[in-house]
Amino acid sequence: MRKFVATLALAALVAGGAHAADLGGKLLKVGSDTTSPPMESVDTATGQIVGFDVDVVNAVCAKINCQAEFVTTGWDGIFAALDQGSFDLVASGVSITDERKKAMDFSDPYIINSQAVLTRAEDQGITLDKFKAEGRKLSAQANTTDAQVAEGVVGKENVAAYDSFSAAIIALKNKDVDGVVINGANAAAYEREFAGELVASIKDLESDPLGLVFRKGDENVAAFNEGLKAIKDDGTLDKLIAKYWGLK
Amino acid sequence: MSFVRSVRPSNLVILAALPFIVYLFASSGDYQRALRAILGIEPGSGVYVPGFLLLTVAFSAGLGVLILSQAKAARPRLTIATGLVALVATAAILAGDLVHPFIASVVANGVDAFKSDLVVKGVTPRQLTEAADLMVRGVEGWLWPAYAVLLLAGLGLLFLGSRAAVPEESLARRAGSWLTGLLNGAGLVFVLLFAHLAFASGLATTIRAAIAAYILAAILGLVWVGLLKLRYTRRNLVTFAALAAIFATLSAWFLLQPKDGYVLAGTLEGKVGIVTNTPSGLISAVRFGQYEGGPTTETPVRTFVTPQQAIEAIGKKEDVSGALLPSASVPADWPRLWQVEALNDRDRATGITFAVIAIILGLLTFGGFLHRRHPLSIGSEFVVDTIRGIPMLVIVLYVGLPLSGALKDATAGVFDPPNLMRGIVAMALAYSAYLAEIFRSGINAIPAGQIEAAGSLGLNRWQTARLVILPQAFRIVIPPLGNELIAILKDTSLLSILSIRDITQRMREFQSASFLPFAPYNSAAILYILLTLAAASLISLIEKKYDVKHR
Repeated sequence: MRKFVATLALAALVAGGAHAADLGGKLLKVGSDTTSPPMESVDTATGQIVGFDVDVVNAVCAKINCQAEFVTTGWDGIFAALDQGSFDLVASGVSITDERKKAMDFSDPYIINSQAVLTRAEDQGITLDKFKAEGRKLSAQANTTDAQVAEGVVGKENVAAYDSFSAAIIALKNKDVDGVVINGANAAAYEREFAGELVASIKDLESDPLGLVFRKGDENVAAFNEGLKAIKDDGTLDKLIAKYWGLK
Repeated sequence: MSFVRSVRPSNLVILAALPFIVYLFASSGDYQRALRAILGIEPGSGVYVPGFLLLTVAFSAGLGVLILSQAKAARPRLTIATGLVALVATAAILAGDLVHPFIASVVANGVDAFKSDLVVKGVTPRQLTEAADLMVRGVEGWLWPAYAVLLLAGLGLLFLGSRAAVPEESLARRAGSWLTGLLNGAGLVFVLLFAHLAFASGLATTIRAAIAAYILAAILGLVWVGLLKLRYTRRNLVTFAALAAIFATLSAWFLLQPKDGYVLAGTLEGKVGIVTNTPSGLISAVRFGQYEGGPTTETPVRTFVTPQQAIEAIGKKEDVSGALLPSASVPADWPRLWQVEALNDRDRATGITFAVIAIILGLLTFGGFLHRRHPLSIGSEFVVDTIRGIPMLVIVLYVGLPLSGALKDATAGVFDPPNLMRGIVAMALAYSAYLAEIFRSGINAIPAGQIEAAGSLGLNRWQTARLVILPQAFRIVIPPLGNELIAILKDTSLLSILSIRDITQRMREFQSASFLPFAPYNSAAILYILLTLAAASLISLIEKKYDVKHR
């Protein structure tokens, strides 16, 4: 009998190991800077927050039994707000960096991204070396890994970092800067949006894993890692990637 | 005790708190790092401080002699002491090598790092090359002696003039004042407002932006008030109506330019090639299939610079299968899916701009006709009313990005001010509306009898304004003007959205890199408090000088 109970317990453990995380339908607030399609943006037609990050979090939540409510917030101060408990996690195409790891916890990467450089169409075929040699200016959204990459290419004094991504795009159209460093995942979307004007001339700058961000020591990290593993294993994540970047 | 009494109460509070603030920064490594980052202290910039201080002291003391010698109450001892300070500082500039590092850094940061061969490429902080350093030394070799000679001459003339029978009218004194004033004034303005201060670039940016924007706003505000006070005549109305008609004609001419034909050719299996300078309306029509027989799903597009490149790409069977091309360049054997004519974007934008100008001028003229006022007076009132209603952030973004871009486009890149300039203009524009209202209230506070008296003395309108109204109005508006100075000082923080690296921007950068919760914000707040208190003290000094009734 004891043996039988032990076996049962073991079976339960094994089953649980495959699917232990259950947040019991908890409602989680997810902070997101919703200005960066297709990762996340506000659908102008419906006013809903849509995008790859939203779908990933919802898919994970379906696995680990939680509900996600997205909250729009500015990129500046997004982590301070997370720290103060304004939301439970941040899903905003956040790159995992060592510096950031010191202050908060990341889930496993859910997509490996690479940066690209958006330029005006007439600069098609420009190379990074040309940017360096001619002292051309780059732009990016301030305080992002994109801005760090831009600084790495042309030096801090030639980077005009704007608060919002759209300001950087206007500066590029104005010829104030000659390129904008963007999330490679968004390159195709911007090429479509600014057809006839802007192209992503340089792709695959640096590999840039993205993760979900939690407060230091948050117990939900393990659950989300399990959920992410589950949607990687059953192909949901691949389907989502195909949905957003599978355009011909 | 009398010293403590003489200090303004708010300054006393800060003075009392100063030891704690100093202790905070001295004892905490985080706060030190935050302060370094926020002030914008570049590594190794400590060597520039003595040079900067020496120059500032020399120029200020030179100006001080001039001001003290012209003051109503003569203070001979203080004047002579100040003169001595100026001479000693000048001697130190000549004798030592203290000033050179500062000047070298100013030159290195003043040139364009990529177009100029004076600076070592790819080194931060910037350094002059050996040859450039020698050249700068050569210039300094004659610049400082020349300054010393001119300063001596100016002070000597001032001294001679003060010994004359009627000092105010002596030629020597007048020449001395001009020489001393111009020389030291120019030097001081350059050092304080234009030279790159590597040891406090963030702080310098904030203060300079505030001062420049304030001066510009005051000038603009006076312009608005001047326009508001313009006299109505029939001729103005006719002129403005004619101007409106001219702009309407121009607009029509641009909008009636021949249209360009475009053809969507090829198939829609792959992407559709788009050529640069295609009218934007057509691009979205192709993307979303808004034409006869267009698909209901979104069509992917790819951008090419010339039609030839697009045609080649389709020929090579890349991912492109069709293209939206100017009709002239479409190969004859391709299937044509859609033909359309459209005006190119440039003519359309120009036409619409002129139409808007014509409509505005027409409205102003109509308003002037209804109210029997000068059209520009109506326009000035409209500007003040609207600008006061637009949030500062919106004005800064609007002037800094789209408006500057449009002007740059219209002048083919000639008009291309740096971001700091754009931010300053935006702030000046926003504040000019408030200042215009302040000036207007000050002017309206002058009794009508004063103006009648000036008229009866035979003064014309300009003289009445300059000699009678403005001096009296100025005294009335000093307190509200001071208010705006403090407001503009803290509103410079909004410039950080144009990627101008002022105190606020550096605070954000430091915060996002370090994730410290309190240190960056506290340091920035303390800096701003010190700045605004300094401004408030300056204002109360001016109030005392002009004898404004004090609380």
